[in-house]
Amino acid sequence: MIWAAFFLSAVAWMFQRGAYVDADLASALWCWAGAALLFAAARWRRHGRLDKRLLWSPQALFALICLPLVCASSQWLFLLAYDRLSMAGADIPGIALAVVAGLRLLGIETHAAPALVYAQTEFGTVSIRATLDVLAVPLIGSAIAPAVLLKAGELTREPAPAAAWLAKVLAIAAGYCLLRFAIAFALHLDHEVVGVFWDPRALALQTAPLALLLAALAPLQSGLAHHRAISRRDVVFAAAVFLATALVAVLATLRLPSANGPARVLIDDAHSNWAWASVPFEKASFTRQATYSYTNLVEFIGFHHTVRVNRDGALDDMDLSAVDVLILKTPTKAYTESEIDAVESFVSAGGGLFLIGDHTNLFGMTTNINPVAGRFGLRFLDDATYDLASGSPSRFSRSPLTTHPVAQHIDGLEFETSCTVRGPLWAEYALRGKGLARELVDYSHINFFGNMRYDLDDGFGVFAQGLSVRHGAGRVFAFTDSTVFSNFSVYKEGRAELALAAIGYLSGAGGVASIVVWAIAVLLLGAFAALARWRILRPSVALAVPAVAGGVLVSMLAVTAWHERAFALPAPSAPYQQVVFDKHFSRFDLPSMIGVRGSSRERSFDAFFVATQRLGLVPRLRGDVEAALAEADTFVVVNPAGTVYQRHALGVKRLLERGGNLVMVLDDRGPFYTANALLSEIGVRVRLPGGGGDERGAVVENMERVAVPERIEEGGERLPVIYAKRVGAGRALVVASGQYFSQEWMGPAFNNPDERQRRLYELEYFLFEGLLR
Amino acid sequence: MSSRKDAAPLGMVVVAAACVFCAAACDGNRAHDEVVVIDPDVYGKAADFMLPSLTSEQVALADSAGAVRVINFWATWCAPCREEMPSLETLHRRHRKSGRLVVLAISVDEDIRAAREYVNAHGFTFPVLLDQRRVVANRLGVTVFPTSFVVDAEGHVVDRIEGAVDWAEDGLIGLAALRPR
Repeated sequence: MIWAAFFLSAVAWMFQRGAYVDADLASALWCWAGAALLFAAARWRRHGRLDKRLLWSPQALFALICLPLVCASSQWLFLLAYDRLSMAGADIPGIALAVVAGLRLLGIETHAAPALVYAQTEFGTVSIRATLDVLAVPLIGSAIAPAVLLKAGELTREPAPAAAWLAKVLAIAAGYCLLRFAIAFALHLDHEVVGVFWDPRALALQTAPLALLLAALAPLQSGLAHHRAISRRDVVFAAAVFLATALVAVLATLRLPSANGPARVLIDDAHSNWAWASVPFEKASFTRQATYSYTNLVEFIGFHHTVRVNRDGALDDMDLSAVDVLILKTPTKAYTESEIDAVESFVSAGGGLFLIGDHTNLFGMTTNINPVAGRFGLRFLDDATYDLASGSPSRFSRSPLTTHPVAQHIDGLEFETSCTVRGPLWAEYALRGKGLARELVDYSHINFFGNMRYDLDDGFGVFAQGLSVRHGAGRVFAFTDSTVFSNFSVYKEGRAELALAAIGYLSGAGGVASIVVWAIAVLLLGAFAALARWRILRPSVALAVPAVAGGVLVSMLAVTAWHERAFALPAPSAPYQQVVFDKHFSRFDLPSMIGVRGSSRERSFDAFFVATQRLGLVPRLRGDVEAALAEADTFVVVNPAGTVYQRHALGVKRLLERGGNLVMVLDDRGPFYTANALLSEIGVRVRLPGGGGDERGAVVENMERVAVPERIEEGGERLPVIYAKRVGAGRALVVASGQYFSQEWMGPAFNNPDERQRRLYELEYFLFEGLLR
Repeated sequence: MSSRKDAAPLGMVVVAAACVFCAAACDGNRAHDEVVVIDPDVYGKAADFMLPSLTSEQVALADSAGAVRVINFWATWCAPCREEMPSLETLHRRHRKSGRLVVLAISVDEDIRAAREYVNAHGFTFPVLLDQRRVVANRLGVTVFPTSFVVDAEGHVVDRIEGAVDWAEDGLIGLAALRPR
């Protein structure tokens, strides 16, 4: 029963951590509740029957609390360590060989290559990536981790039986891993069962027999739950472990911000014939060079820091001592050895290095950036990632335990398609991509993307999409998706914030040196050994595990809270015109470049959004209406729906009275209830005429229809209709037939528009420039 | 004395819990924040109607007075209508128990059998009314399909939607905004 509880608890973690599919907290809680019941039942049974005398005994209550705590904390620590290990290198050497050896024992003819297993099937030779995730090690490992830990505590008392038991459990688990892999592999080949390797429900079913097998062959004595009475020395021990762990973890992860104010940033454009830093992005700049360039990123950084672009100089000829942060992005040309030396010296002396790569060695970027990254133990891979479950571009979501300053201000960031990056075990995993699959470059696709569908030789699980290391007195941050900073995407959710946060982090200095952290950890371990030797403490594995987990957890929360304050995003040093797009009421999408094909074109307003940048405006997305109304120069709402409170309607009125603008884009279908509620304080009403008369589209009452320049209307096609009203010092605009500003009519943001689409651009320019400035 | 000592921690817990409750319940900014209810004259009062249903009952709009009504005009030959039907079913199921919202799907199909077969095939459970001659549709000025009306609890048409929408989308109908005036 205890084995079943361990496995159920492990399944709960699979649901909770969302390593393969989105986290499902409800299912996790059900599994944990089931595990708790099984723990209780295991404790209350004696000689196979329920013993009511045991129900409320102090020892039973202790076991009820202690055992689940040991189980949950050991599993959490195991998975934490596992994720770190897998990000450092999922293709652990030797796994393929071990898998092949095991499969041959099972009579399955296979061959090994680095990280791949080749199997001969009736369909021919099939390769499958041999990773720990494919072998279900996270689930099986976290299920046996608490048992192994508890048994390890017995090694000092009864070494031989405990060691034999441990060996038996590990052998059974390893054998089952292989057997389950072989069956899942066959299932996948025969029936193309998607998710057989990662769906938590499938994993739970696949590993249920192992719980029974272990219960039969390696039973856990109920004495495991029958812990001796807790003493004061036990409490002192647990508290000391907790404090020591928290101290070491805080010292290891705490980073200090810069005290020098705005950073001096240098962007290297000399080695990159891509993501150009100085190509104009203006009203008629529709070339690929313009849309993919970093013009807006450079501008945006310039609002907060001092930024310079190196157009053609060699890095070793430059005075890098006058630079705080150096950005090397998308290099399509190799750096010379002496340039790399100069960069390394710059970082060693306390500089910050921001490396930006991209997927599938696009235009040789990975080849060119890795010699620089390699100096700091980092390596960009030639792969492309996608969301494992959906096959869409992946999305980064910050966990409340995220400690890295780079990720602190990102509440959601959709990648355009990243590669993965690896580093040493002690690297800081700034952006942990969960539920990812990674596929290797596929040049059969002209656009350098893979098929974005799980194939057996794809890897999956948790990968680093942003990784940082410290080197000398400086810091390095490697980021894996250059496209998120391109003009057509830089102002989408989280991207400009990521750039600012990265610069803030890289320009910081200090932090406790690794050597000091290690020294303190060793000293603390020595102190524990001495205190145990003198019997001041009574060491216990069962108590140490939750104490360590608690220490790690508390330190993560504390460091996260500290970093959020210390690495706050800087206020702009120069004011700029903010066009804030509402995301609370508005119903529209800004699909990623590759996601365009999967999204609804009439719901996508990416071209409309990006066109504001061509006018020198800074579009931002905000979900908090009140904050948005407070910061906006112009507030844009698109097809709103939802319950409107007085504070929202009054906020709109106040925005206008203080000289701000409102743009409400409405399609011709409705619903208009929310729009009317938002406009209620300024006396404007929108309705559909109905009745089949001549009127088409929405009727806007108490506003003036705006005449647009003739050149825009000369095409004769239907266009959005603009209505305007002055309120206080500001102006409210309602755009009826707003569907024409959607991607359906304007095309995607990175496209070169045709004549008709250009007229829509012209109308938008007229709206923001002619009517609102 | 000792019983008072024992009671102290319990008292502190109770006080702390009360503080947390109060902090959660009271938000100074929102204490007097009312939902905005729009002017009911945007579309005016909904004219009552009575139509036969697929189950041969006579159903009137007034039968569901007191609930928010979503009146959806559709036809089996209309692709956008078919597209939004599943989300209409989701909306119906979401509010079926509470009775706060009633979906009335009015089919303008001339062929009643086609409508019945379609509804049965897809297992829709919301009431389907029949307006073969488009009497009610014409009275409400419906010329495109689907067209939907949202009628508040007091019988005012507060919204009109021409085209397919995702009725399951959160907030599409702000129920809080449609509460009785």
